[in-house]
Amino acid sequence: MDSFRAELMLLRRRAATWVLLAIAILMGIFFSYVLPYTVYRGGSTTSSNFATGLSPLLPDRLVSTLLGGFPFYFGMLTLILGALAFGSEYGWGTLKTTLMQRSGRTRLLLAKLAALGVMLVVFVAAIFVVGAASSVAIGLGEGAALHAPSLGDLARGLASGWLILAVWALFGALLAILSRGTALAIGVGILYGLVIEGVVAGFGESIRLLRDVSQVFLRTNAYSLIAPLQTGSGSAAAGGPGAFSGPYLDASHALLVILAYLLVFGGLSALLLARRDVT
Amino acid sequence: MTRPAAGTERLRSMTEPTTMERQGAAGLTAVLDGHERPDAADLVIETRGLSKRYGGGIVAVDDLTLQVRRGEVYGFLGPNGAGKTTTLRMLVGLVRPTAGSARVLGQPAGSTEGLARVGAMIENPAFYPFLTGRGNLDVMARHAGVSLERVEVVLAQVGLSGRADDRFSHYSMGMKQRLGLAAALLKDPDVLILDEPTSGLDPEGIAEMRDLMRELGRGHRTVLLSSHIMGEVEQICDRIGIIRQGRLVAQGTLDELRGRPELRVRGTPIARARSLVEALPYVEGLQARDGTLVLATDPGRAAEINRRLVLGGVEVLELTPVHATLEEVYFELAHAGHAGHAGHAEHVAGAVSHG
Repeated sequence: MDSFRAELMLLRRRAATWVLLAIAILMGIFFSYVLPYTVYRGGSTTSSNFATGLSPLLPDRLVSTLLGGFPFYFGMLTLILGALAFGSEYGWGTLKTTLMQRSGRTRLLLAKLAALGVMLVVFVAAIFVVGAASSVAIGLGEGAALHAPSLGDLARGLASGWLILAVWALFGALLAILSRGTALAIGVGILYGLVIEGVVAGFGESIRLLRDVSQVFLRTNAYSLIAPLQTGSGSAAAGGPGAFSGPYLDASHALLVILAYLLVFGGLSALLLARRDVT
Repeated sequence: MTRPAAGTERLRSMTEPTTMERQGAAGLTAVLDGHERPDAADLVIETRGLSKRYGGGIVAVDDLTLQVRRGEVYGFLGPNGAGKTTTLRMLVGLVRPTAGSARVLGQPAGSTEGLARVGAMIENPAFYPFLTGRGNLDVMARHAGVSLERVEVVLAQVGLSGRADDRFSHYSMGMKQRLGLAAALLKDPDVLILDEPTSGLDPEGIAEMRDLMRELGRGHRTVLLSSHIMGEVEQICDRIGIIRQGRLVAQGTLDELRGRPELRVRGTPIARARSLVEALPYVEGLQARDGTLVLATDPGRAAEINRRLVLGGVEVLELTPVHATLEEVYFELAHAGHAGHAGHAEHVAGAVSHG
């Protein structure tokens, strides 16, 4: 418990954590509300794919609208957070200093992951709070009726969002442990998340080979996990950032795949941390 | 007749590896150290055949058998790349040995139980740059499972209380070293392992750190200090081990390593001087070099030897007690050639006997 508190303190005191959260919030507001609202108000789009109405921007569609960003840009940001949380320990040499106390490698990993998990709760909550404020502001501005999303949807949305961020953060952590640093981990992670996952997500519906392999890819499963909570066109379905053309999988299958990824990423991280020398 | 000097024999016996290998770990202390194997309860750090090999055939530590006793300040000397830091890393569990074993306070090295009573600073002190000194110690105290009150105690102990709220990234090298030492002291450890703690410090900082280490080494605490600063080791350490190419080549107290003092004699005629001193029963060894005689004998007999030489018709030009410095011993042992231990021991013996 003490190690967990120490790790949480580190994440709290680190400016990069809050910078990433600020970026996440800004991106969330921009892509989920500002950009679609601008399009709605001005109709200034040449793409029929990105046409949007007012309803996705109102509070009752909060969960649906916000969740579209989790498999993509929110995920990329938490990949960076995970890579920084673990990779910096190598860069600064603090892993050595910490391990010379008596925490033990597995205990340290669990403490770090637990702290990261708590910080992701803060991320998800902050994104939803700011998203809710944005949707209320738009609703008030447009004189629309304001209805809160159902508590069930909200809870499932928060949980799904956290799970998606957790798997990306853990992927970042694994890459950091693997490369014993941050730079390569973030570079490879973003390259994978944007290019590999992007190609699969973008063409998965139209190319048979990609359609088959996409069933094990993170973004496909993440979008499939949130699909039951999405109604109408979110930014993903509408051709915005992180556009996803499918295929959509069964949500329970997606949940199992994501949980399996969590286990694999966590297990590999523990194995590498336990077996390798710290120099 | 030239008899080998007693000091030479002493050093030869301390460094004779073939005997070490024959006798194995149990005999190592006796051979290297000139003492009987200490009681197991007195051994705070003990390695047996400890080895670390990396890929590409790199041998960092090779069959190292080391024993550090309770309450002593043990100096671990060796040139860069000799395997000191790797050994220390293995003692705290950062690096896993490829062969052999290491125990600290009776526990396997790096185990949670063992680390609970061990404080260490390996290489440069590494902390979170965005935290203050106090913040860093708070984090380490939580990981160590000690009360946060210890943070203030160790800050005061290393003289960093006044700058504890500065960020680590703003610290000078000396302050960083102090913070590293403070972190090592958080657990009020029974064993303190310090790897070149004065590295990068200015002379004033070195002196302060040396005083601090001397203070820390008092009482029951055992200190294993890695260094290649002779003065530091000479002034602080009770016993010294010298490592070369991953192997322990000598171990003992400062006096044991330096060997017995000898007498250097210059006089004319040198042949007459030589025949006179050779006849003296208390001269245990004699070597001649460049017109100088080096006698293996008690320097307290200098006056008596002088009288004999003068009465024997020798004009005595110089009669000087000679004692090998730790630096001389170190250079001979740590930087000897690669011809193997036996040849190396001969080399050292010769060098020391020549004063």
